[in-house]
Amino acid sequence: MDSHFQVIILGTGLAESIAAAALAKVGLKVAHIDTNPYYGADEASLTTKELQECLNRATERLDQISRLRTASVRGEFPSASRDYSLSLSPSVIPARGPLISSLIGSGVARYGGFKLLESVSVYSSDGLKSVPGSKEEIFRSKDLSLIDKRKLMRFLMFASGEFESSSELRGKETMDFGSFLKEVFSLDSQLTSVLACALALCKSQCDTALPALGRIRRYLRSAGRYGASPFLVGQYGGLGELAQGFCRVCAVSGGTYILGRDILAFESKSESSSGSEETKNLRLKLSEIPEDLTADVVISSINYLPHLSNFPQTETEVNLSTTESHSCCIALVDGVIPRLSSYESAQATENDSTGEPVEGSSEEIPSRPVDAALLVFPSGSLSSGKASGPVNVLINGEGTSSCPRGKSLLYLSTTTQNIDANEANNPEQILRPYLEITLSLLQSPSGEPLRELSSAFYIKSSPTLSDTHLASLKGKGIFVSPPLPEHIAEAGDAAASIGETLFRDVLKQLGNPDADDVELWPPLPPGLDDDDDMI
Amino acid sequence: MAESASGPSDKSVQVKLVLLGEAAVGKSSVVLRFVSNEFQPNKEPTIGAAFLTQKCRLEDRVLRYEIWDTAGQERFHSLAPMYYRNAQAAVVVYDVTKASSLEKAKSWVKELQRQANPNIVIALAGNKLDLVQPKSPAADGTSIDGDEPDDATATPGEAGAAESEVPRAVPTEEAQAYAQEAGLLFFETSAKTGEGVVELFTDIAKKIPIEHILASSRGAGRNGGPSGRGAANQQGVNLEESAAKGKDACNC
Repeated sequence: MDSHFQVIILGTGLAESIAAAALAKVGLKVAHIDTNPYYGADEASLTTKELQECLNRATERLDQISRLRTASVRGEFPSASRDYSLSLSPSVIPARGPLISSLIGSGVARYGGFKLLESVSVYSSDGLKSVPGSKEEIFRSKDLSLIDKRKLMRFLMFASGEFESSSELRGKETMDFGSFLKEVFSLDSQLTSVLACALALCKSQCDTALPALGRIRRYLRSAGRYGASPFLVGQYGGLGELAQGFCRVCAVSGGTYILGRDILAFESKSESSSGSEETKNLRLKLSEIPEDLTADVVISSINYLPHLSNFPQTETEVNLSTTESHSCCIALVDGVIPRLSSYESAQATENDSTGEPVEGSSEEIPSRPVDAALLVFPSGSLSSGKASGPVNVLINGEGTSSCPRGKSLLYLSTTTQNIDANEANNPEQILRPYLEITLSLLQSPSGEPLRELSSAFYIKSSPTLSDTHLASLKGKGIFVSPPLPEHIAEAGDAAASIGETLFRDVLKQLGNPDADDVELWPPLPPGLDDDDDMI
Repeated sequence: MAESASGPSDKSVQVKLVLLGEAAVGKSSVVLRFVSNEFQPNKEPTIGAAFLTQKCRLEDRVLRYEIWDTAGQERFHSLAPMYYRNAQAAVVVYDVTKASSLEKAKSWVKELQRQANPNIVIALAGNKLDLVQPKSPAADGTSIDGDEPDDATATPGEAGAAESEVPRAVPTEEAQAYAQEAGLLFFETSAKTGEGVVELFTDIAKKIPIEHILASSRGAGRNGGPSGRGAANQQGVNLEESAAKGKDACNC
């Protein structure tokens, strides 16, 4: 193997994979490395066996390069391991945004399959309510009083427009979103909570107004592109599958892939070669690979920094400070979950004038099973629950190809802010009550009971690195890819934005003066599809 | 068999076919011969396309192969699960002049049985047959004359060996016995002369359970093939199509 590369990329998370694909496509020589034996890093889609191995390593704190911590597993995972694609980063993808653009621009859209998210529902003590996603749905809603409808309409008009310069927002940009809604739009606390949790997908009550409004606008504008729903769900476990797609694009453009080898040594030394140009020499030794790999530039997922030896000590202890942590649960369920009231049924009602409008409760929806739906527990909505913020439940059925027929998947997650590093944060304790109530709520009244087959609980930490560290690493030719935000609808788009930034940073570092103007994805060659030759 | 089908006869069935085999046995060359009836003697080790497509007529049906090359991801055993996903056929290639490549092929067959769909049709192809055939140009002299001085090998290191007569390292009977035992289709091929190549892909096509593919893609939720495009996936979203249509469809 010719062992010098222009770029070595450590970690096959979605952001790094997007950068890898884009860099290889402009003709750079790329090596893409992951010490894990699977693609996708912290966004991976795993078989049940891979998930168990991954969680075991996380629990035992073995030398695993990931952000997973404090894992526990209940029940037996099904032995038909490959029937499942379990996502470490369960996500919905807004139909407009950087990730969808990159999927189309790179051709990865052709590899992956996508489903529309069917519904977003909110839990309250009197059951599940579907969340109206558009003006039409608000009109039809039977849960809302006329006056609330008018207030909501006014708000949606505002949120879908250019609110940045509006008088309503001026001076209130950093106000928490709930208070903003109450104060400016006179919405009551119940509506406020629904808007914050289910429309803006806020992670806590202290989310501020400006970013929350930005999300709502994006989601409103995403509706209608591929269907009534603003969100798509990737098949086979979502982001992890997409990361594989971008890695394949990198490979077909000549990228080299090495997975499952340990990093034995990493060296960075700056040499001034004959005074003209400084060449960064980064050297990497991997287990089972005889030759060292060298590179001009390294992109490293933040997870790898503490594992890169030969860093000055102060940097190895890297101040990976954690300001929030994310409790997650993956539950494998025996039984099919009936559809909840959905965007689709709302449309059907519109077209069918004789049909009864479909209500929020699941009883009236006929047998079709759910493919993908989101259920949100607003903060404090469940008296037995102790989560400090909202709890999201992403439901995946057989239609997402991530579990076999007759089974379902529930992904629960919630974010804890400002955690004390020493706090014993038990994800199972936090999420168990929500899992129990979800299983009882989603049960079809006539069908077989839903049964939890097995479940895994873990914490995902969100390390950050100070700007001074980032700058000093950049000086050595090392670009750090930060962790993706733990947000069900934002992680994918963030990955695409980070990937693009890394792409341009590396081009600049390698001396391309037009780095800012280069297209991230050059036009794809005309499809080979219209080839009519036949054999 | 195919013709007992109830579906419309002009419907083309999409079949994902994956290639496997040791580096430089001619995987890409076999496909290139099949898809464009070409041969490039000094082909670069990667093919540079996401996948190639080729239609194949089979009695009253048209089969449309979507052929995926490993893109080098097999080198460090880092093939993504996505590669095997929904593959209905696989061609495992070895080099008849290199015994170790058959051993490698056997391990790929095992890998397929572990990773891929259990109904996958696997064919074993012993490539570079031209190198060991006495009646081909080798009979006129030891070196291959004319405009194509090189053999089917993409690896520069092996080019020298091919200039002289290359002894067969894998007897046909041995590979055939293995294929029979493992339930594989078996062919010897030459990407260079084209021998065996069309037969290889046609015989795979005959063995593909087309009815099963059509039935399962009609079934609820099951997502056929490399996704989203065929009739296979009614409820799936095709990002590219809708993107074109939906440009002005902002719903806000």
